[in-house]
Amino acid sequence: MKAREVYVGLLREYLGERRRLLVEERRVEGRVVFADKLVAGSLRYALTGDMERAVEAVKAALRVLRAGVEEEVSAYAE
Amino acid sequence: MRSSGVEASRRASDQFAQILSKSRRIYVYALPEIAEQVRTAEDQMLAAIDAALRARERRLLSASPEAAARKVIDASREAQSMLLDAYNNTPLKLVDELSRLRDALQRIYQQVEALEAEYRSRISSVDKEGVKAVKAGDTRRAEILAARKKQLLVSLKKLEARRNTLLSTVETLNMIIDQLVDLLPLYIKTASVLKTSIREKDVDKLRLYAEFLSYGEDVREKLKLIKDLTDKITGGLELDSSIPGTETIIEEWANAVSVKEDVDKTIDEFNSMLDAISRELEGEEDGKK
Repeated sequence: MKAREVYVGLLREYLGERRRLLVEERRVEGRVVFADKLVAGSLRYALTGDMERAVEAVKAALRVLRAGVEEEVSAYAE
Repeated sequence: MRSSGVEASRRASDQFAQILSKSRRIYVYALPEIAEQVRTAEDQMLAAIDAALRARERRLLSASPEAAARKVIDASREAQSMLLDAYNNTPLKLVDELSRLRDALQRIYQQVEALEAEYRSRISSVDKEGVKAVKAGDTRRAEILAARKKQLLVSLKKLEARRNTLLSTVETLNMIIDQLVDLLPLYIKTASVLKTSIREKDVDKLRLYAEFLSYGEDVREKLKLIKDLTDKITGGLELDSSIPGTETIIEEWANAVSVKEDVDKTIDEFNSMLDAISRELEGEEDGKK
Protein backbone atom coordinates (compact mmCIF):
# COMPACT_ATOMS: atom_id res chain seq x y z
CA MET A 1 0.00 0.00 0.00
CA LYS A 2 1.30 3.44 -0.91
CA ALA A 3 2.25 5.93 1.79
CA ARG A 4 -0.43 8.31 0.52
CA GLU A 5 -3.10 5.62 0.89
CA VAL A 6 -1.91 4.78 4.38
CA TYR A 7 -1.90 8.45 5.34
CA VAL A 8 -5.39 9.22 3.97
CA GLY A 9 -6.72 5.99 5.47
CA LEU A 10 -5.38 6.98 8.87
CA LEU A 11 -6.82 10.47 8.54
CA ARG A 12 -10.22 8.96 7.77
CA GLU A 13 -9.93 6.64 10.76
CA TYR A 14 -8.91 9.56 12.97
CA LEU A 15 -11.83 11.75 11.88
CA GLY A 16 -14.29 8.91 12.45
CA GLU A 17 -12.95 8.12 15.90
CA ARG A 18 -12.92 11.80 16.83
CA ARG A 19 -16.51 12.29 15.61
CA ARG A 20 -17.69 9.34 17.68
CA LEU A 21 -15.91 10.65 20.76
CA LEU A 22 -17.21 14.21 20.45
CA VAL A 23 -20.79 13.23 19.70
CA GLU A 24 -20.91 10.63 22.47
CA GLU A 25 -19.13 12.65 25.13
CA ARG A 26 -20.59 16.01 24.10
CA ARG A 27 -17.58 17.88 25.35
CA VAL A 28 -14.21 18.88 23.99
CA GLU A 29 -11.34 17.45 25.97
CA GLY A 30 -7.75 18.66 25.92
CA ARG A 31 -6.59 15.43 24.31
CA VAL A 32 -8.84 16.06 21.28
CA VAL A 33 -7.45 19.58 20.92
CA PHE A 34 -3.91 18.25 21.12
CA ALA A 35 -4.54 15.33 18.76
CA ASP A 36 -6.10 17.77 16.26
CA LYS A 37 -2.92 19.83 16.34
CA LEU A 38 -0.88 16.75 15.53
CA VAL A 39 -3.17 15.89 12.64
CA ALA A 40 -3.15 19.44 11.22
CA GLY A 41 0.65 19.44 11.48
CA SER A 42 0.84 16.11 9.67
CA LEU A 43 -0.61 17.73 6.54
CA ARG A 44 2.37 20.04 6.33
CA TYR A 45 4.72 17.04 6.30
CA ALA A 46 2.56 15.22 3.72
CA LEU A 47 2.38 18.17 1.33
CA THR A 48 6.13 18.70 1.49
CA GLY A 49 6.71 15.02 0.71
CA ASP A 50 7.70 13.74 4.16
CA MET A 51 5.07 10.99 4.19
CA GLU A 52 6.78 8.91 6.85
CA ARG A 53 6.62 11.73 9.36
CA ALA A 54 3.07 12.57 8.29
CA VAL A 55 1.92 8.99 8.92
CA GLU A 56 3.68 8.90 12.29
CA ALA A 57 1.98 12.14 13.37
CA VAL A 58 -1.53 10.80 12.59
CA LYS A 59 -0.73 7.51 14.35
CA ALA A 60 0.35 9.49 17.40
CA ALA A 61 -2.84 11.57 17.20
CA LEU A 62 -4.91 8.39 17.15
CA ARG A 63 -3.09 7.09 20.22
CA VAL A 64 -3.69 10.37 22.05
CA LEU A 65 -7.35 10.33 21.06
CA ARG A 66 -7.90 6.74 22.14
CA ALA A 67 -6.03 6.72 25.40
CA GLY A 68 -5.02 10.29 26.08
CA VAL A 69 -1.49 8.96 26.52
CA GLU A 70 0.39 11.40 28.71
CA GLU A 71 3.83 10.47 27.36
CA GLU A 72 2.63 11.04 23.83
CA VAL A 73 1.48 14.51 24.73
CA SER A 74 4.73 15.48 26.42
CA ALA A 75 6.87 13.95 23.65
CA TYR A 76 5.11 15.82 20.86
CA ALA A 77 4.56 19.01 22.79
CA GLU A 78 8.30 19.71 22.73
CA MET B 1 10.16 28.04 -5.38
CA ARG B 2 10.89 25.53 -2.69
CA SER B 3 10.26 28.05 0.08
CA SER B 4 6.92 29.10 -1.49
CA GLY B 5 5.92 25.41 -1.44
CA VAL B 6 6.82 25.17 2.24
CA GLU B 7 4.94 28.38 2.98
CA ALA B 8 1.83 27.19 1.06
CA SER B 9 1.97 23.85 2.91
CA ARG B 10 2.09 25.69 6.20
CA ARG B 11 -0.97 27.73 5.20
CA ALA B 12 -2.82 24.59 4.10
CA SER B 13 -1.98 23.00 7.44
CA ASP B 14 -3.25 26.12 9.28
CA GLN B 15 -6.50 26.00 7.32
CA PHE B 16 -6.91 22.34 8.22
CA ALA B 17 -6.30 23.20 11.88
CA GLN B 18 -9.04 25.84 11.72
CA ILE B 19 -11.47 23.39 10.18
CA LEU B 20 -10.72 20.82 12.88
CA SER B 21 -11.10 23.45 15.58
CA LYS B 22 -14.51 24.56 14.27
CA SER B 23 -15.80 21.05 13.65
CA ARG B 24 -14.91 19.77 17.11
CA ARG B 25 -16.92 22.57 18.75
CA ILE B 26 -19.90 22.10 16.44
CA TYR B 27 -20.09 18.31 16.93
CA VAL B 28 -20.68 18.78 20.66
CA TYR B 29 -23.83 20.82 19.95
CA ALA B 30 -24.97 19.11 16.77
CA LEU B 31 -28.12 17.16 16.05
CA PRO B 32 -27.60 14.19 13.65
CA GLU B 33 -28.43 16.19 10.50
CA ILE B 34 -26.02 18.98 11.46
CA ALA B 35 -23.32 16.44 12.40
CA GLU B 36 -23.82 15.02 8.91
CA GLN B 37 -23.09 18.45 7.39
CA VAL B 38 -19.89 18.68 9.42
CA ARG B 39 -18.92 15.21 8.34
CA THR B 40 -19.48 16.15 4.68
CA ALA B 41 -17.23 19.19 5.10
CA GLU B 42 -14.51 16.97 6.61
CA ASP B 43 -14.93 14.37 3.88
CA GLN B 44 -14.54 17.02 1.19
CA MET B 45 -11.37 18.21 2.87
CA LEU B 46 -10.10 14.66 3.02
CA ALA B 47 -10.89 14.11 -0.68
CA ALA B 48 -9.01 17.32 -1.56
CA ILE B 49 -6.00 16.19 0.49
CA ASP B 50 -6.09 12.80 -1.21
CA ALA B 51 -6.34 14.38 -4.68
CA ALA B 52 -3.47 16.78 -3.97
CA LEU B 53 -1.20 14.00 -2.68
CA ARG B 54 -2.23 11.69 -5.53
CA ALA B 55 -1.25 14.35 -8.06
CA ARG B 56 2.13 14.72 -6.39
CA GLU B 57 2.55 10.97 -6.29
CA ARG B 58 2.03 10.79 -10.06
CA ARG B 59 4.64 13.53 -10.45
CA LEU B 60 2.22 15.63 -12.46
CA LEU B 61 3.72 18.82 -13.77
CA SER B 62 1.02 20.91 -12.09
CA ALA B 63 1.52 19.16 -8.75
CA SER B 64 4.36 21.12 -7.21
CA PRO B 65 4.18 21.29 -3.38
CA GLU B 66 2.76 24.77 -3.82
CA ALA B 67 0.07 23.68 -6.30
CA ALA B 68 -0.85 20.71 -4.10
CA ALA B 69 -1.17 22.97 -1.06
CA ARG B 70 -3.31 25.40 -3.05
CA LYS B 71 -5.74 22.60 -3.92
CA VAL B 72 -6.14 21.93 -0.20
CA ILE B 73 -6.50 25.64 0.63
CA ASP B 74 -9.24 26.02 -2.02
CA ALA B 75 -11.09 23.00 -0.63
CA SER B 76 -10.77 24.37 2.89
CA ARG B 77 -12.64 27.55 1.88
CA GLU B 78 -15.62 25.49 0.81
CA ALA B 79 -15.40 23.37 3.97
CA GLN B 80 -15.30 26.55 6.11
CA SER B 81 -18.47 27.83 4.50
CA MET B 82 -20.23 24.50 5.12
CA LEU B 83 -19.10 24.59 8.73
CA LEU B 84 -20.37 28.14 9.16
CA ASP B 85 -23.74 27.04 7.89
CA ALA B 86 -23.74 24.12 10.35
CA TYR B 87 -22.57 26.39 13.19
CA ASN B 88 -25.49 28.80 12.61
CA ASN B 89 -27.85 25.89 13.11
CA THR B 90 -26.54 24.81 16.48
CA PRO B 91 -27.00 26.22 19.99
CA LEU B 92 -23.26 26.87 19.92
CA LYS B 93 -23.98 30.19 18.19
CA LEU B 94 -26.12 31.18 21.18
CA VAL B 95 -23.42 30.08 23.64
CA ASP B 96 -20.85 32.21 21.80
CA GLU B 97 -23.12 35.25 21.69
CA LEU B 98 -23.86 34.94 25.39
CA SER B 99 -20.13 34.74 26.07
CA ARG B 100 -19.64 37.91 24.00
CA LEU B 101 -22.33 39.63 26.05
CA ARG B 102 -20.75 38.47 29.29
CA ASP B 103 -17.33 39.74 28.13
CA ALA B 104 -18.79 43.10 27.13
CA LEU B 105 -20.46 43.51 30.53
CA GLN B 106 -17.28 42.49 32.31
CA ARG B 107 -15.31 45.08 30.36
CA ILE B 108 -17.86 47.75 31.30
CA TYR B 109 -17.60 46.69 34.93
CA GLN B 110 -13.81 47.09 34.85
CA GLN B 111 -14.08 50.46 33.14
CA VAL B 112 -16.59 51.70 35.71
CA GLU B 113 -14.28 50.45 38.45
CA ALA B 114 -11.33 52.33 36.90
CA LEU B 115 -13.42 55.47 36.58
CA GLU B 116 -14.41 55.22 40.24
CA ALA B 117 -10.72 55.05 41.18
CA GLU B 118 -10.12 58.18 39.14
CA TYR B 119 -12.98 59.93 40.91
CA ARG B 120 -11.59 58.96 44.30
CA SER B 121 -8.23 60.34 43.33
CA ARG B 122 -9.83 63.59 42.12
CA ILE B 123 -11.82 63.86 45.36
CA SER B 124 -8.61 63.39 47.35
CA SER B 125 -6.85 66.15 45.33
CA VAL B 126 -9.81 68.52 45.76
CA ASP B 127 -9.74 67.72 49.50
CA LYS B 128 -6.06 68.64 49.78
CA GLU B 129 -6.60 71.83 47.79
CA GLY B 130 -9.52 72.68 50.07
CA VAL B 131 -7.40 72.27 53.21
CA LYS B 132 -4.73 74.53 51.69
CA ALA B 133 -7.34 77.15 50.78
CA VAL B 134 -8.75 77.12 54.32
CA LYS B 135 -5.26 77.44 55.81
CA ALA B 136 -4.55 80.33 53.44
CA GLY B 137 -7.83 81.96 54.51
CA ASP B 138 -9.15 81.85 50.91
CA THR B 139 -12.81 81.23 51.82
CA ARG B 140 -14.13 81.75 48.28
CA ARG B 141 -11.81 79.09 46.85
CA ALA B 142 -12.56 76.75 49.77
CA GLU B 143 -16.30 77.05 48.99
CA ILE B 144 -15.76 76.37 45.27
CA LEU B 145 -13.66 73.31 46.13
CA ALA B 146 -16.23 72.05 48.65
CA ALA B 147 -18.96 72.34 45.98
CA ARG B 148 -16.71 70.51 43.51
CA LYS B 149 -16.08 67.75 46.04
CA LYS B 150 -19.80 67.38 46.64
CA GLN B 151 -20.42 67.12 42.88
CA LEU B 152 -17.68 64.51 42.54
CA LEU B 153 -19.09 62.50 45.46
CA VAL B 154 -22.54 62.47 43.87
CA SER B 155 -21.03 61.19 40.61
CA LEU B 156 -19.03 58.57 42.50
CA LYS B 157 -22.16 57.33 44.27
CA LYS B 158 -23.92 57.05 40.92
CA LEU B 159 -21.03 55.06 39.53
CA GLU B 160 -20.95 52.75 42.56
CA ALA B 161 -24.66 52.10 42.23
CA ARG B 162 -24.29 51.28 38.51
CA ARG B 163 -21.33 49.02 39.22
CA ASN B 164 -23.20 47.09 41.91
CA THR B 165 -26.19 46.51 39.63
CA LEU B 166 -23.81 45.54 36.85
CA LEU B 167 -21.95 43.15 39.12
CA SER B 168 -25.11 41.32 40.11
CA THR B 169 -26.18 41.16 36.44
CA VAL B 170 -22.81 39.75 35.35
CA GLU B 171 -22.73 37.27 38.24
CA THR B 172 -26.20 35.95 37.51
CA LEU B 173 -25.51 35.89 33.78
CA ASN B 174 -22.26 34.00 34.39
CA MET B 175 -24.06 31.41 36.46
CA ILE B 176 -26.85 30.89 33.91
CA ILE B 177 -24.45 30.74 30.96
CA ASP B 178 -22.32 28.13 32.76
CA GLN B 179 -25.42 26.06 33.49
CA LEU B 180 -26.56 26.44 29.90
CA VAL B 181 -23.16 25.42 28.51
CA ASP B 182 -23.47 22.17 30.51
CA LEU B 183 -27.14 21.68 29.77
CA LEU B 184 -27.33 22.33 26.03
CA PRO B 185 -25.08 19.45 24.90
CA LEU B 186 -27.05 17.10 27.19
CA TYR B 187 -30.30 18.32 25.73
CA ILE B 188 -29.04 18.00 22.17
CA LYS B 189 -27.61 14.57 22.95
CA THR B 190 -30.96 13.38 24.31
CA ALA B 191 -32.76 14.71 21.24
CA SER B 192 -30.16 13.10 19.01
CA VAL B 193 -30.29 9.70 20.77
CA LEU B 194 -34.06 9.90 20.90
CA LYS B 195 -34.28 10.39 17.14
CA THR B 196 -32.17 7.27 16.60
CA SER B 197 -34.04 5.42 19.31
CA ILE B 198 -37.43 6.15 17.70
CA ARG B 199 -36.10 5.01 14.33
CA GLU B 200 -34.77 1.81 15.85
CA LYS B 201 -37.88 1.24 18.02
CA ASP B 202 -35.77 1.17 21.13
CA VAL B 203 -37.66 0.27 24.31
CA ASP B 204 -35.82 2.96 26.27
CA LYS B 205 -37.41 5.75 24.29
CA LEU B 206 -39.97 6.70 26.94
CA ARG B 207 -37.25 7.30 29.51
CA LEU B 208 -35.28 9.28 26.93
CA TYR B 209 -38.33 11.26 25.97
CA ALA B 210 -38.93 12.21 29.60
CA GLU B 211 -35.29 13.30 29.87
CA PHE B 212 -35.57 15.26 26.66
CA LEU B 213 -38.66 17.13 27.90
CA SER B 214 -37.06 17.86 31.24
CA TYR B 215 -33.85 19.22 29.65
CA GLY B 216 -35.94 21.25 27.23
CA GLU B 217 -37.90 22.79 30.08
CA ASP B 218 -34.66 23.67 31.89
CA VAL B 219 -33.17 25.21 28.77
CA ARG B 220 -36.26 27.33 28.12
CA GLU B 221 -36.35 28.48 31.72
CA LYS B 222 -32.71 29.56 31.57
CA LEU B 223 -33.20 31.35 28.28
CA LYS B 224 -36.13 33.24 29.81
CA LEU B 225 -33.97 34.21 32.80
CA ILE B 226 -31.30 35.48 30.43
CA LYS B 227 -33.85 37.52 28.48
CA ASP B 228 -35.29 39.07 31.65
CA LEU B 229 -31.82 39.80 32.95
CA THR B 230 -30.44 41.31 29.78
CA ASP B 231 -33.56 43.43 29.29
CA LYS B 232 -32.21 45.42 32.22
CA ILE B 233 -29.27 46.37 30.01
CA THR B 234 -31.48 48.33 27.68
CA GLY B 235 -33.63 49.41 30.60
CA GLY B 236 -32.35 50.93 33.79
CA LEU B 237 -28.63 50.25 33.63
CA GLU B 238 -27.48 53.10 31.37
CA LEU B 239 -24.79 55.30 32.74
CA ASP B 240 -25.45 58.96 33.20
CA SER B 241 -23.65 60.86 30.44
CA SER B 242 -23.47 63.85 32.76
CA ILE B 243 -20.73 62.01 34.66
CA PRO B 244 -17.45 63.16 33.09
CA GLY B 245 -15.24 60.35 31.78
CA THR B 246 -18.08 57.99 30.95
CA GLU B 247 -17.88 58.41 27.13
CA THR B 248 -15.91 55.19 26.55
CA ILE B 249 -18.15 53.27 28.91
CA ILE B 250 -21.25 54.59 27.16
CA GLU B 251 -19.79 53.46 23.82
CA GLU B 252 -19.04 50.03 25.28
CA TRP B 253 -22.56 49.97 26.66
CA ALA B 254 -24.00 50.62 23.19
CA ASN B 255 -21.92 47.65 21.99
CA ALA B 256 -23.29 45.46 24.80
CA VAL B 257 -26.84 46.50 23.91
CA SER B 258 -26.21 45.52 20.30
CA VAL B 259 -24.84 42.13 21.41
CA LYS B 260 -27.88 41.74 23.65
CA GLU B 261 -30.11 42.36 20.61
CA ASP B 262 -28.22 39.62 18.74
CA VAL B 263 -28.71 37.33 21.74
CA ASP B 264 -32.44 38.09 21.82
CA LYS B 265 -32.75 37.25 18.14
CA THR B 266 -30.78 34.01 18.55
CA ILE B 267 -32.83 33.03 21.62
CA ASP B 268 -35.99 33.46 19.53
CA GLU B 269 -34.46 31.37 16.73
CA PHE B 270 -33.33 28.80 19.25
CA ASN B 271 -36.78 28.59 20.82
CA SER B 272 -38.22 27.99 17.35
CA MET B 273 -35.64 25.26 16.87
CA LEU B 274 -36.67 23.66 20.20
CA ASP B 275 -40.30 23.79 19.07
CA ALA B 276 -39.38 22.17 15.76
CA ILE B 277 -37.43 19.37 17.48
CA SER B 278 -40.32 18.75 19.89
CA ARG B 279 -42.87 18.71 17.07
CA GLU B 280 -40.71 16.35 15.04
CA LEU B 281 -40.20 13.96 17.93
CA GLU B 282 -43.85 14.13 19.03
CA GLY B 283 -44.89 13.41 15.43
CA GLU B 284 -42.58 10.41 15.27
CA GLU B 285 -43.89 9.24 18.65
CA ASP B 286 -47.52 9.57 17.50
CA GLY B 287 -46.73 7.76 14.30
CA LYS B 288 -45.47 4.77 16.27
CA LYS B 289 -48.57 4.55 18.47
